[in-house]
Amino acid sequence: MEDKIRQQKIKAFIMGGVAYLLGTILYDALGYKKSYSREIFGLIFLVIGRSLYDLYQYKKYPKIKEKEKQLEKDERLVFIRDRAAYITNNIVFAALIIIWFVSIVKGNGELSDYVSCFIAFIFVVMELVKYYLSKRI
Amino acid sequence: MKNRLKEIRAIRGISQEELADILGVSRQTISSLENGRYNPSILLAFKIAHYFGMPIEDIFIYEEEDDDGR
Repeated sequence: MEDKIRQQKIKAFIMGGVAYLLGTILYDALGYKKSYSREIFGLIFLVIGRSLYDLYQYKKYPKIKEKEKQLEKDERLVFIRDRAAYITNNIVFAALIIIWFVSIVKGNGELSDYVSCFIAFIFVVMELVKYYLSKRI
Repeated sequence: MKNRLKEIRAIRGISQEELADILGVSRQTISSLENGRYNPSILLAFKIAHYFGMPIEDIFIYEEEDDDGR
């Protein structure tokens, strides 16, 4: 069952890619000028394509979809997700500090300002979430 | 923390997949528990003990030096 779920996820990913490509090809075929809207058109196709594919999968294999929903609550997977988020947060934080330091050394004031604001934003959000969770748990 | 899950499951003659379905977890979770790579929450430990009709301490063996938790 879990192998089937994995296979379906891969298929859904491929379907999303195909839908995105179809969207961009259609955009070009319609003769519009190339701009950011080409990517947005592709993204809209991706969302619609994935939604339709998920709906089809849900109708065809309801048991697999039920199992998939059940597995979302699996405590080991939740633990893995939490740990992955924690590690990713630390890596992003470290990367931002490196970018900030490099921008200071290179004298790029504008970039260092943006990065400083972003670091402060992450820090504030992190503290707020910690405060919220400490009240709930 | 050590556990006797693999041994007890074998005695009862049920597969990892079946046990996972009963407990509402993935087969990989059962596999990780049996290999000692993952320690269950107290809730899952109770569910397992309840299913096998045994006390938790007969299935999961606490070791003092194991402070990491997971």
